[in-house]
Amino acid sequence: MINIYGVIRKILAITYFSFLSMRREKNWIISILGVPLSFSLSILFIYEGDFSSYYISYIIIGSIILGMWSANVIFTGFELRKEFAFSTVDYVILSPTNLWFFIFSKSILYSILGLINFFILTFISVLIEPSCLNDLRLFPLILGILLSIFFFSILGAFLCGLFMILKDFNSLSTILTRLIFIISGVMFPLNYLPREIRFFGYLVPTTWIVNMLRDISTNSFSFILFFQYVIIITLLSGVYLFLSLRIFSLIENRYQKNKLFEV
Amino acid sequence: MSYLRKMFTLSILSFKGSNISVNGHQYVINKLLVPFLEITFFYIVTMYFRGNEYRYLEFMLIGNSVYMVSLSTVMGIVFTIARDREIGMLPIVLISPIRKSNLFIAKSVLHIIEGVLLGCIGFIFSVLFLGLEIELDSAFLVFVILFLISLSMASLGILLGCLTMILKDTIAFANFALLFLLFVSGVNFPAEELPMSLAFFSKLSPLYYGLEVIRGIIVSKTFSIESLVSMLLVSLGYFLLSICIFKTIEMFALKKSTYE
Repeated sequence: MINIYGVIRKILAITYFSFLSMRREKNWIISILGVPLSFSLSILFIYEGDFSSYYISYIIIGSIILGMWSANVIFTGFELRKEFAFSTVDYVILSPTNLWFFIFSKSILYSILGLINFFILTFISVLIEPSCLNDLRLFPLILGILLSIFFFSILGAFLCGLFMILKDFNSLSTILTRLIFIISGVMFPLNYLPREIRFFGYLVPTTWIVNMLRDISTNSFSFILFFQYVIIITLLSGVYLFLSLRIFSLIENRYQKNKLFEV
Repeated sequence: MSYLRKMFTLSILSFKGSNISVNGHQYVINKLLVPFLEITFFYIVTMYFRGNEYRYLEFMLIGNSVYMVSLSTVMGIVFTIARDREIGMLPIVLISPIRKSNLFIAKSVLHIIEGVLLGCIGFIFSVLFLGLEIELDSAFLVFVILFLISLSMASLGILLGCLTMILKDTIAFANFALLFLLFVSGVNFPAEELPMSLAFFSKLSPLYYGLEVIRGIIVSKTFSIESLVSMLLVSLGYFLLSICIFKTIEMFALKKSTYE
């Protein structure tokens, strides 16, 4: 029997202490906002239409994904490497908390921090056109964002494991930030991509998260549509969860056999 | 002659030093593939939001190809200068008999050339894959202006590099500065569309003037000498400012007997 209260308390404790340690580095806000904010603001000025549901669908929703994805690649992706570099990984592995769960909890924090980009862009949009959010359906959007945080955290943990076992993790991280923006159609409809590339987009949960947020926050919200998206995203995330659990057990095994970084 | 040779050796060693942790395919990924992905992303976004009109796509393609120059020049120089402090080489650099202005020039030369080459590759990518049209007659002039833009961006790189001696997380700071340039310099949309407060920053960016000159040559077949002079003046200002900052830091460092 899982102790839900205990799990939540553990997540809160890990996110709280991770946030405290982040605040010691003054540049975290620059790192977390750099790419998503400059991209979102550039697109805000490229956009030439009126501030309608169309605007919300592509710019506001896109800014959520840009922020959350970048935060997960830049922060969660390197979390385990940091633990190894600071030699604090011993405490994590020897603690009763599972290594994957530890990274997943941190990933929740980074996904939430990725939303700063969305808040800034929404604020600027309201300054430019106060009525720009009139077509926004707030309740479904909040529901969608909460779910997105959960799914992005699973992806973040997967990235972290992947970056740990790969040599060229740095290059991979810079490529991944830009590549997902394209193949997931973050700021434009997927049919603007060639059919062959579109196929890869459907294999990534971010594509479905973008579509879900777009549909439920601007079109007429229906639980059937919402659950359809949730089922697809859950299935895809399940695959990434399975893969990340395998990678983490590999990392723990290697670590215990002193093969990883000779620790 | 021997002084020139020393400068040349210094620039080669600095360039090698700044890429020491980067292998061949990492170099290709970071300096070519990532900018290509960025260009493609903004190309699709522009196509979607501004329609399939060639003038918008042309505007954005020229902007992003030239931006590749600054990516390489600014980041390379910042990293070269910052690295001296990070690996504890700064005291040795400071007591060497070389003039500080020459030191910066030597450290920048190869990054400037690299910037021009990457800018050219950006243009070739845009022409071959994304339909940008450049007349062969203007290609040489574009190349010359790319060189001047790279030179101007180098002065900004030197200034940011000097600031890294005061600030801690240098690369994050330089990255943010570059992303800010992407936004205010009129790379993806005309800088005139920015609100007044932000438009002020675009006037401080050499990239803004460089883009005006290049777009003039490619799009309207005109040559804006005013923009060119403005770009060179702004970059000269940055260069002089960076020398002043470096001298001030050096003075304080000598007073406190520390280079930290």
